[in-house]
Amino acid sequence: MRRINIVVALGAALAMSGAVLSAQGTAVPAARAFAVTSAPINAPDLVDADLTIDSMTRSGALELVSANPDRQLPGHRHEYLRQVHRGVPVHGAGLARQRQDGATISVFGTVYDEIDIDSVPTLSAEAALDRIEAVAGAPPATSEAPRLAILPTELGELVLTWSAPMRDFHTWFIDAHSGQPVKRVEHLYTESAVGFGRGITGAPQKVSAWHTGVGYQAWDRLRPAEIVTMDGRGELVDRVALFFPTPAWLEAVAWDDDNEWANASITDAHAHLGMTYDYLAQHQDWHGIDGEDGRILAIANLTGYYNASYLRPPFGPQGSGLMSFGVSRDDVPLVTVDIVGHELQHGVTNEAVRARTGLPVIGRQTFALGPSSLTVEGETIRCGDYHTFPAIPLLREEEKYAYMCLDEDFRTTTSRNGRFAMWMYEGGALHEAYSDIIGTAVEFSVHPPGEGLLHADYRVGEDIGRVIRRLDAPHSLDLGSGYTLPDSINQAFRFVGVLVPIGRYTTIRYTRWGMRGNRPFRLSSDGYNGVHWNSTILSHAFYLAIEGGTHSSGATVTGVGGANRHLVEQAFFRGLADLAPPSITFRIMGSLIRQSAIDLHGSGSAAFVAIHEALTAVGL
Amino acid sequence: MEELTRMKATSWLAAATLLVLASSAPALAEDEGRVTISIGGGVLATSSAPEGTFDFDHQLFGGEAGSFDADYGGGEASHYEASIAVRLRERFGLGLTWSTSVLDDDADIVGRLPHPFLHESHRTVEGTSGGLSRDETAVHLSLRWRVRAGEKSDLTFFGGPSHIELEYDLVTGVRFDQAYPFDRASYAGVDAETTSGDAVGFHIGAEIVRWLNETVGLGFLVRFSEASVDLNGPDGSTMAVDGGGLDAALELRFRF
Ligand SMILES: [Zn+2]
Repeated sequence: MRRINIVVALGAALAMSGAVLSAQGTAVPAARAFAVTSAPINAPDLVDADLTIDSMTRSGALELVSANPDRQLPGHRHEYLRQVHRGVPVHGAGLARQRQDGATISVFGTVYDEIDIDSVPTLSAEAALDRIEAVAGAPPATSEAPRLAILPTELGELVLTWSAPMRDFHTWFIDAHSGQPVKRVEHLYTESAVGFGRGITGAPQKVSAWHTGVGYQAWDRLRPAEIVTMDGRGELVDRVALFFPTPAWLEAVAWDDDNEWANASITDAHAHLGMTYDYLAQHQDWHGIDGEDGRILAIANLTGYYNASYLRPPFGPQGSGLMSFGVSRDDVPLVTVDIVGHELQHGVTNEAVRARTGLPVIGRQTFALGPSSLTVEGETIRCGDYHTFPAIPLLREEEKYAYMCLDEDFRTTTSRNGRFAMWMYEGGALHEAYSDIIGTAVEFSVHPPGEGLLHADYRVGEDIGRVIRRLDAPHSLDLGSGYTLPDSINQAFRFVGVLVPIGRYTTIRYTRWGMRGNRPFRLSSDGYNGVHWNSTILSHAFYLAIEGGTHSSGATVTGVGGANRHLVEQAFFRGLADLAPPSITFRIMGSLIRQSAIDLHGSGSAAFVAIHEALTAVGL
Repeated sequence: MEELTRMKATSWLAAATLLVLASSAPALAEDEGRVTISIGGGVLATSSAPEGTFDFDHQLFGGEAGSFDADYGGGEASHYEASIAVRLRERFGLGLTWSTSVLDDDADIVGRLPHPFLHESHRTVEGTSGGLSRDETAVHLSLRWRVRAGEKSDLTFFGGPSHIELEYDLVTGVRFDQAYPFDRASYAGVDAETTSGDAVGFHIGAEIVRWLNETVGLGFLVRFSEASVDLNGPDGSTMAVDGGGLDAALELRFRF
């Protein structure tokens, strides 16, 4: 079995060392990650993977979630099997198997061996929901019962949990016995790490509107999926009501009395949503956000909201998610085609994976071992030191926690000889990478290549006057103090974490300290997880596979050329939408995209070679 | 089309002349009546078939104007007329003719349809629309010159002002079928509106009558008439159409 040796995944590492992090010494099971592609060398591993799936299915440890013919390739079928333990699903664990004419050709995913955990909760579902409400400080977001699942934590434990999405835009997981919080997962994907500059295109847009008795609504009923753009005018606090299911959204739909739309934010957002829909439908055979042409909802013209974001279900006015397009600090609407495409793809990333596996992409976090001390501009932190989170008046008192360091046996330690666990939010960075990749692809589908307004390039945000990411040349974008965007996994931004106790559990919180590659950094504040910055590791590979060139490492890639960009776009999209399990890392994603390229183009194709070379160049 | 009309006119005139030359009995008939009336029918070959390029709007054009070329066929209309003539002097008289003609016209259409989502991405559709009615009503006031008056037959030339009223179904827009992603569309007919106008022009013609007895004769006439009628074009423009044309009719003529 070719198992990805998860050097950076604490679960496996701890399993090897026998170390435990939980206060009560729960045994940590072994995670087995599968990334078996159809490369000839993997033939025995595919047989082995089949045997594993067969035996786990027979014993009831794997349960079929979906089995579908391939969207594009005749003879190919996909199935996703989730892991269950005594009838309770193991959150995010499961295997995605692809077969061609009955023979298995790829298996991706993670399963846990030797789970030994009681699957009968002490708390009833009802009591659990009350408890979740108490710890979240917010009522449930839906009327659905909480879900029982065995949750693998970042620290490698398996915990029987109840979970429910709450109106604070998080899904909370609590211990199904003690009711103590274990984890919370955010539903909002924002671009808040960035500021945006001045400038807007002023290009004419067609607004696909619907004529009503009083005027025209920004309600596209021409495309197979309805696209509705709401108007964020008015009080921002009122608009936040639209983040929850409410019939009031009907009154918020943007309208114009003569169909000559004057509001650039609404015009551009609505038109660019349509273009993104068109790109996905026509170039990727993917229909809408959910793949089934469900209604697409967005709100634009949100003055005072200095961000663009995607809020995933069950939030949004119809419980189906909501894109929000605010403005830059200079009041430039954040509605250019790459930004709109970016937000919509956040939805697709989640829904494509959820449609097959029952779960959206899980925000997987991994770590690598760092040094024992970090020094930036004369200030040094060492293992054994404590990090102080400053007080926020009325909200939070000052908090102090020890930096998370590990000894040689991967045990947590406060010894000066320990080494920092350097954390990376891989799931989030992949989310951002895919959003930039598809946002860029949409841009190329509607504009000719070139520089300047209304031309397609590999820069993100260029049409609002400030480039925030560059897929073509990550190193040329200075984030400050000479730190540039990474173009390989070895240069990823990794963060020093602290272990924050929650009840009997501990959770990771990122500090402002970290390393980009070998160079320590210290941000101006705590709390950022680097997902946008690290996204260029994968999105640069996307660029290289198309355009080719020499990577900063010296590796050269022969790209497929702009005329064949669809070959690369399709391989990247399929890797996520058709092959990926919910729990993904950069390295697994590299294998998924290679498999996808083999499926679509063949392992001897120029497209596969370009993609393989590009992924190799960025270290994946 | 115009070329064809001219050729037909030539052949009709030739036929009429032959008929006159073939007729005999050149003597004057003193007792013939001063007033004749006639009814008749035949065909009118319209002298002009309009064509042009026009703009039109559609809710799904996203603010861009669509346009179409319309090339009307024209052709031979069914033609009916009634007239009265009075002989004022030996060879000269006045006539008044009311005529109507009905044509079921068609038009070749080439439409350029803006894309509902994209700028400057027109789809082209082509088709032919039938059922466009072109009705003319004319009143001709004629000075008549009887160049040959025989016992059995007369040959009369005539000419004078004509008032022609034209009622025309003009294409105002192109209907189309389309489906996402709307990169193509197909022709599905036209929208048309009846528009009318009138003008004063002229006519000239010749008529030969073969008298069957004292009162009743059979006539054959050819007439060319023309009046330039301004119609309201479909996009607010003015469209000049030549009313009239060359008509040929058989008639029953009575004299009193
Ligand atoms: Zn994003």
